[in-house]
Amino acid sequence: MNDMKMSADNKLDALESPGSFEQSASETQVEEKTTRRSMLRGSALAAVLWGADAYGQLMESPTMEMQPELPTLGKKLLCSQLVGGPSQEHRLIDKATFGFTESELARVQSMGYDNWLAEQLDPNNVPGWNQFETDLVAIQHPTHGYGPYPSLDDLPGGQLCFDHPAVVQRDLVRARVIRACYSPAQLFERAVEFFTDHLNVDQLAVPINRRLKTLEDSHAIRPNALGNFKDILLASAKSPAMLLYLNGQENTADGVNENYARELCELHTLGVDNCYDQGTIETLAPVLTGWQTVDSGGDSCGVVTFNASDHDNAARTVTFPNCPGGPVDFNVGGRGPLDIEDVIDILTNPVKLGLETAKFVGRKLAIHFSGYNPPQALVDAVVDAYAANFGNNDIAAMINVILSRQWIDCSTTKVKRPLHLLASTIRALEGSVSDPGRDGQVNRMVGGFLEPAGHLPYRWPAPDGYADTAEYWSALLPRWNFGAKLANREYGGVNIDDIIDELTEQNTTAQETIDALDACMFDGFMDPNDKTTILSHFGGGSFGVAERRLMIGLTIGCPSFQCY
Amino acid sequence: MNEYDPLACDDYNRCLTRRQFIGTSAGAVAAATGAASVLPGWRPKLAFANPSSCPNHVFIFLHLDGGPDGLSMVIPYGDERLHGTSDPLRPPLRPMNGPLGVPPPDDTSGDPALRTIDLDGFFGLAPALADLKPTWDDGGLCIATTLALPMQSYSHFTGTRWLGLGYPNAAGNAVDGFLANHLNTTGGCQGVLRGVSLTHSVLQPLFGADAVLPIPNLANFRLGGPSGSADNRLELLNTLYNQQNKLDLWRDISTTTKGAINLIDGLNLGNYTPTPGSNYGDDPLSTSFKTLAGLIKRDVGLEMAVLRQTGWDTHNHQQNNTPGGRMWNRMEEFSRAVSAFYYDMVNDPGPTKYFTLFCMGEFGRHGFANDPDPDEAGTDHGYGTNAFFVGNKINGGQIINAGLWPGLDVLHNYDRVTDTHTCNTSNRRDLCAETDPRDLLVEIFDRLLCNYDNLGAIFPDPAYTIPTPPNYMGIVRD
Repeated sequence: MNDMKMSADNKLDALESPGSFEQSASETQVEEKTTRRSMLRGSALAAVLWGADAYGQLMESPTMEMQPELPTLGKKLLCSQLVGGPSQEHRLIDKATFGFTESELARVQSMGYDNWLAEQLDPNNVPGWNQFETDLVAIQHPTHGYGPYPSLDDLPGGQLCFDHPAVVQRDLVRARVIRACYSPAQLFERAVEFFTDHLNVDQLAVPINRRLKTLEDSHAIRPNALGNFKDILLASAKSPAMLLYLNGQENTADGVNENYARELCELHTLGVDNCYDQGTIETLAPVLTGWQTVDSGGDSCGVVTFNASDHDNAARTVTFPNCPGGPVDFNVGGRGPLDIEDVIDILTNPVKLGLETAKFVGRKLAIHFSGYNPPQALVDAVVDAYAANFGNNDIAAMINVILSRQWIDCSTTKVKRPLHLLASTIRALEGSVSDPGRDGQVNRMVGGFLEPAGHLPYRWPAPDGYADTAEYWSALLPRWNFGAKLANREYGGVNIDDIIDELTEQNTTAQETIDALDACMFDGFMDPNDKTTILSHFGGGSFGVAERRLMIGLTIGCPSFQCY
Repeated sequence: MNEYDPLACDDYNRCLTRRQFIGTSAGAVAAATGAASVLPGWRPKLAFANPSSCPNHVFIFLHLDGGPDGLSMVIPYGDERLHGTSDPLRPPLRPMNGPLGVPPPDDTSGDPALRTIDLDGFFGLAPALADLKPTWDDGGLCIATTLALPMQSYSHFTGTRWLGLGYPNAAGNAVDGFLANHLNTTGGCQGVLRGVSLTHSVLQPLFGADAVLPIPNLANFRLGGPSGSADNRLELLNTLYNQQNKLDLWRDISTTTKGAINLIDGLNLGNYTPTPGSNYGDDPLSTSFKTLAGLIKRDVGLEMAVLRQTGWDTHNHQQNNTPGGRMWNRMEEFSRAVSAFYYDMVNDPGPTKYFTLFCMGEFGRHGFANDPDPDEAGTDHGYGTNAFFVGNKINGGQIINAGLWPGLDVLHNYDRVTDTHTCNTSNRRDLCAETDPRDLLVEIFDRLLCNYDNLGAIFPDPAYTIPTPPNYMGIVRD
């Protein structure tokens, strides 16, 4: 089904890889393609779309062709579908989930691209999601919390305040892995992944955060991950784990601590040195004083209080001197517990600095869901969606643009981060995970793979979260070892025996086995070089269970499967 | 650049010999490398034809991640403004109950183990850095104070990037670190593993060079799965990654990974026995330094190593003056690992012979504590700080720029809009900076690493003037 051999005619197109189309211009193309090239060449945007992506090498050097049924969005030039490459539905699953599965593709195809995306943008719409969460919490991870969408009225934190903190910590890590692998609300989990990094809190920053990170996950991040950016930011600002992590706890009227104010501007909203300067930070920090929590377990664990005596209630003018349009002033302070909400409003409201925030956060979202160098036109469209939907599930609105049919063809190849590699493997091979394990447990996936790969959930120490670049995650040995050890049953608490058994029952040859892996892991789009090279490794000799396991391990470790 | 007197150090003579050796072709070399000083940050890989041999010097960078409070590490106790009676920056813990203050060396009121350790009559080491005193006494530790790049960012991430690039305010697409620039302009001895980052991802200073890997644990670097087929599978994986075009980096990483597995797995570095008397701790930093010493001594062609110690971002509970305190613990781990590494290496350096370790954070911190309560007090992001240079060719036992101490009567202010730095009394916040760390590194790259032709490629910042030998501060031992 995927004969990637190219005709002489479209070899010319293949040469038109990003950045090289000028040199490969030809006078002999068919009219339709010539027209498209002329458009590209004549547009400054073409350079943005095709020239800027350093890692945009696509899976198969597929040919490109204009999609006549897709109109331009306003005057913005659209990317075109890759003829002979994965379908839009396949690309959507790649970008929206923790990994392709044949069953999810069938589902998208049966219900339609737009309907599937709309369903995923609100997990309450996803069939089986509530049951999945109920089972996860009730059976496997009793300390995890209160179910999917708890009320803040549930505070204090219940069970997690009383169980052993190491158990609470472990359960959240387990839940992270299980949800990535199995949650039917995959897009939601990818959004949670994004905001877990964007509003990063180290689970071990202070001892009590082994408990309180769980509270933050269930009360701040998850209820808002597809809701409103302003809400998730305010929930994060007031969450006990964040108060302790970035020293809101120590930020008092007589001892101003700049830590949170700086990262709020630099990492959470405006982007480094955009609009604000050191003076801005020094003005904002006292406005945020007075919010405190209890740094111990027990009855009052997780309670956040506003202590007026520790709050600097002075009215101030805060200046953002370095905004693109020039300095901007706002009056803040003097409203006690509402001061923090006023600061968040300044940073998120589109009529204040919200568009500057949307440019930064929207671009990060586009990188997360689409590619490392998103076209500026896409970022602009995301910012527009934020402004148009502010307060009306604006996060879902931004993601809806990025993953829309109009923009999915602009998505480019990314390198899977280790958790993504783990989950996509389990999903594609229908692996069975009973215990992902914890850090230090080298015979489980968490301690035996995510830890040596440097991707333990909730353990990035700095406030910028785990990186989302190909360079950062370019180490290979952890990836090779994951495939080798999983296939060789070196990790407890997980197995891929079903597929092994199935292949063994059918007594598959090497060719049949690699074809089966190609189908279930790549929908037939495994790089032919990877496929033939792995196949040649098994040429000639006997091919039994041991060889099938080796082949699976090598396929998990091959270049094609590291990318999505 | 060959004008000043040859010095008696054999390493320097080795450099000089090579200079004389290439003397007749110096013009050609200069022509070939003439563009180095104006190359932009995105320049392609350089491949200068320096005559190469196995370097006998390994350079190590330890990033003190988070930006340590320099004033709490190297304490200018002789400066009246530090904890004197009039408006002190850091009122001493006794008798004033001030946060962050450390009793001076001549304090008689409390535990001697909590006093500043005198170095030169003006500066002293934090008591938590006591393990470094023997290294200082041995002449293996040189300290630079009031140090910073001439641009300021209060951002950890921008500051870390600038320090790693050796290029403040570098363009967004600049990627190659200053150590990578060194490797890319020298041949070395074609080692399989020229550089190692003891982290999960290669730290910025070393990023951008071939034959460099991140190896967080040198004691465990092998391919899993059935051992009988490991060699064949490694060969196959390397073939797969050399023929792919998804990520260019992966080709070199794959080849280097395969080579490094074959190189390291047999060394059994987890069982490396250091020089008796090297007091490494059990913590991750000491373990990293210990295994690194083992690797260096095996003489496998390693030229560069980078490490990171986190935990220096002490916005609260800094407690640099209290055993068990947050910064106290970081300083103890730091000084224990570095002093053990120095002792281990200096007494038995192996065939590589020489080593230099450079330790610095991305910025210093505010002069004032951010809370009057000694238990709660921390410090927020600032500017000037200090760095530690350790090695057997380092002109140790000195504060190298003590003469440039500006005093604490003035502190640093930076105006981003006008890009102006001032030291004044009007809005005192950060430590001033009188020395660019690159000035000290240039001397090391020139005199110890013999890459004198490519100093402008190592530090390509067009705003930076490479110092000439007469202006060197003398950090390299004569």
